[in-house]
Amino acid sequence: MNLEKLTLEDYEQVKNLSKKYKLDVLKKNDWTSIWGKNPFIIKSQKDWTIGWKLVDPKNEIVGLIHNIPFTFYYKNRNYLAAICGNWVIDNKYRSFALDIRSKFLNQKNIDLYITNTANEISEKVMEAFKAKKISQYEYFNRMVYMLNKRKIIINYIKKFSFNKSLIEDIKSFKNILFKKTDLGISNNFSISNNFGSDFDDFNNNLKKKEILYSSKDCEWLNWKYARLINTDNLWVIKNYDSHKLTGFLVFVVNYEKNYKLKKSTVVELSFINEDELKISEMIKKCILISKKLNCDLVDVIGFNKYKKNLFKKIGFVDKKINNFSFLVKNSNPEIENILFNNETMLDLSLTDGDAIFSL
Amino acid sequence: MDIKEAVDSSIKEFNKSQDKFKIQNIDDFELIGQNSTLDSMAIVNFLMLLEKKLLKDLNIKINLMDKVFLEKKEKLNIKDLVSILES
Repeated sequence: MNLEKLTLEDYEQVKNLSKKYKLDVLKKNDWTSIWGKNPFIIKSQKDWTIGWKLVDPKNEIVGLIHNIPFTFYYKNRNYLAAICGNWVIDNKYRSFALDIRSKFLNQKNIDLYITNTANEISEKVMEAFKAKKISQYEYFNRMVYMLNKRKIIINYIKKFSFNKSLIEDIKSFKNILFKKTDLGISNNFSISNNFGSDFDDFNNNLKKKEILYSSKDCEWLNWKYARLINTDNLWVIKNYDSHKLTGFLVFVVNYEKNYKLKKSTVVELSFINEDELKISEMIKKCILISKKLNCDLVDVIGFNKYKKNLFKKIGFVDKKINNFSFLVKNSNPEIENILFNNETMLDLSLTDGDAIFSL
Repeated sequence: MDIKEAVDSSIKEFNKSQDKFKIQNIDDFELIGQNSTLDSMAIVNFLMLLEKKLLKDLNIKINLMDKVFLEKKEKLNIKDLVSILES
């Protein structure tokens, strides 16, 4: 068995192995662009290993992991993160799974290693390699706003037999079933399906704030959402003050396969000033557009306490996630505190890891 | 207690803790490799048991997963594990 560097020519084998184990794989162009158009790889012009593969004696790929660079900012400094994805191994070679994971978690010049799609197994494995769960306020709660309450409840009940969790969920459904939310808006927001150069200025202003975040500049956002740009599946709600971009919300329209529901997922919510009215209205605008698009629900995973409370005020309810899923192995002491000891300030979400590629 | 005894004791504890996998305490028992009968979770659980024991009984603080996977070749048996730890 050989553990080798993955290459862009391996796509077909990557696709076949991933499909065999029911993992979603992007179309070839989108998959290739993860590295081919990645701003860090383009700018640094350094060799970047796109992942590792376990190869059997017949030269077939029987295991793999992706390795994707992200740039993060904190206190005006940038940090290089390696994001892992598609960790999969053929059952026959399962004892090699850890070799692949170890390759990913032991690279040179990486500040932090991230997975935000960890299942129970990868969570344990990451922790064994000294990764830790981020200490973010209620990251384990996904927040949901129901647009089509009847369909959601029927599909939910169809899917599950009665158990404790279902009964608890029904209680919370009951609480919101007849609740009316005021979705009135007084601000005019600009709506688009792409990102322009005004995001560069926005990112430069955001750098000055004491938050850890993955880059919001135009190049990075266009790369991250490349497969959705200029489609009805990507919506950008922008707030301008004196012609300057001062806040934005992004949501992605996707499908919840388990419950057969059309949903919109809020993936970005950033602003320079904490203007509660404007931020709340951006969220309301997202709900209104989602309604027009016939989505059954709007959901959110992550974000800091301040933002979570705004979502709750509008009528979002908590739904516990089965496993924690956001783990980081940090090798830079400068960001240790914000990652693991600052529950209310940490502001990570789906956009800060591989989850963004599977929506 | 020395390193070999810590490994012996961890094997016993691991075998007692579940019924699905059995680690034989013989030098050439393959923990990791093509002929290993363990899956990744079993390996993680065993190495975590050993890591805790090394700290508790021998005051050796070690990141065992990194140590093992950075140093091992294609396979790792009990004898290799002990030599990695003793080095």
